Amino acid sequence: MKTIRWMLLSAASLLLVACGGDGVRATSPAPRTHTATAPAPVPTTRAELRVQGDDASGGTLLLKVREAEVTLNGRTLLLQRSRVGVLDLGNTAQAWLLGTFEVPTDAQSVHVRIRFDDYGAFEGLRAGAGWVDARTRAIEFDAPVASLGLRGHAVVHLNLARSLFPTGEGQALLMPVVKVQY
Amino acid sequence: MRWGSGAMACAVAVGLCAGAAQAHEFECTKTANGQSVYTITEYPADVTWSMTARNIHPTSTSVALGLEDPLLEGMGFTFDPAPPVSVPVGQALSYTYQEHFDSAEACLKVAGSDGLEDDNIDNTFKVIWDQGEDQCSARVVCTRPPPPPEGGATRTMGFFMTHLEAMQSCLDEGAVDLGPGFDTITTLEDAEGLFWASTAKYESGENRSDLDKARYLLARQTLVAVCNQRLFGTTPTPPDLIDQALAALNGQVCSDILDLAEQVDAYNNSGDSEDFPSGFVAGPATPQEAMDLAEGNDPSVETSDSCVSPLAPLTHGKRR
Repeated sequence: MKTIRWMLLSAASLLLVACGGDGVRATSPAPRTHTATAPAPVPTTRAELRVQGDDASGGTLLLKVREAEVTLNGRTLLLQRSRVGVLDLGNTAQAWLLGTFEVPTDAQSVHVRIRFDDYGAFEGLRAGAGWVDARTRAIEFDAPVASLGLRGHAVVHLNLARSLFPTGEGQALLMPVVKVQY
Repeated sequence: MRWGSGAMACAVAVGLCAGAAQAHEFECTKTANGQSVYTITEYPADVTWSMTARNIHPTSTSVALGLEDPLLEGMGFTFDPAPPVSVPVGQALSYTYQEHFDSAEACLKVAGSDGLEDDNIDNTFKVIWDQGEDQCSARVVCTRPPPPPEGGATRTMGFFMTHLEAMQSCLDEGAVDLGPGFDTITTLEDAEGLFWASTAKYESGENRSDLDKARYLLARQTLVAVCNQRLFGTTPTPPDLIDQALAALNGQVCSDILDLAEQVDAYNNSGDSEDFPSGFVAGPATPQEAMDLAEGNDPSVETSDSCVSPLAPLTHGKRR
């Protein structure tokens, strides 16, 4: 299944390049070797990892990110974490930057893992105000490098209306319903 | 008994390259016995997970390049039809899978395989297309019979980080010393500053060291536990749990610190459904006000200590 997916993604990338699309934007050009021993730098593409709230109905959802990790073949890539502390995902106009990373352009995909901190808070989301139990599974996905190269980012959209479940007065459980877009 | 099935209106398996340059978009749903959060109240129990992936593109057929549900697939479920699958506008792929649980133990066994140490089966369904994916989750709560014995009330960190009046009542009984990694918690600003601080970074923007991060995770739970004991008189199990936590915060054994953070969190959750003692006033939840109070008030101290193995001697050094 995954093999087919990568073949399709590769085909899509080739089509985009052939038609003058953006394709993968390499941030470091292919190097010229000046000495026989100089290692050739690997071309990389720079990408951002962002989180954005959707369908908030004017409310506030305050969450912190406990872990954000990008790995390539099991190896952790350096993720330059942003200084954003608490994300207000009720602000649906803001795609919060979690961090940026460099990935070799010849890689097929990177694995992204985002885990929210255990507890957050909400206000005005059809359930008054209170706290959120966010101790659930991490959000994980494989981001094709070709897709990351299209606009230089992966944006995780968290649908607030479909992700929060009241569990008591002033309490809600977070079960993330997300869409990943590139 | 277990079974899975798939159904789809007008879906067509596609060959390679089909739709590679088209726009696609899906929206998924996932439920367990029709609910996003389903609680098993008695055993034996049957749970049916239902997954749908609807093509929500306004004009184009969408191609599902990948369908994943690792937990259910690990239990024997397979997607039929398998991806890649072409789905016309407004149509959806639908799949179901049923599992039978004879006992709480059987349910808890699966709960333990989802990567989280709790009594819940959380699993995620993904539909992947060429430039994105949609993820939906459902939770099955494995109730342990007989019901846990009723203890005293407790409240979680989520409660104390949003209920300023309750937190102030706790601090009115005295400051809380959380060890060398923190300034003494004296004011509401200190407490909220601790709760709302970044887990990854100090206020300076530098990354927390492994030890200081572990201490941070335990310290905030310990502060809540102290408040639960002060305000509600609820004794943890074991009774010296808070003393253990405070001792660990004065040490450098990260494995112990992280273990205790989970134990203290469990205590703080243990009486969450119990009523407050009569006369206790929690006050309203005011998250925005709490966050504003926390701004610039993280009481964490950036120490030069690092994690040690359980038998190594302690050293303390700190820099501000």
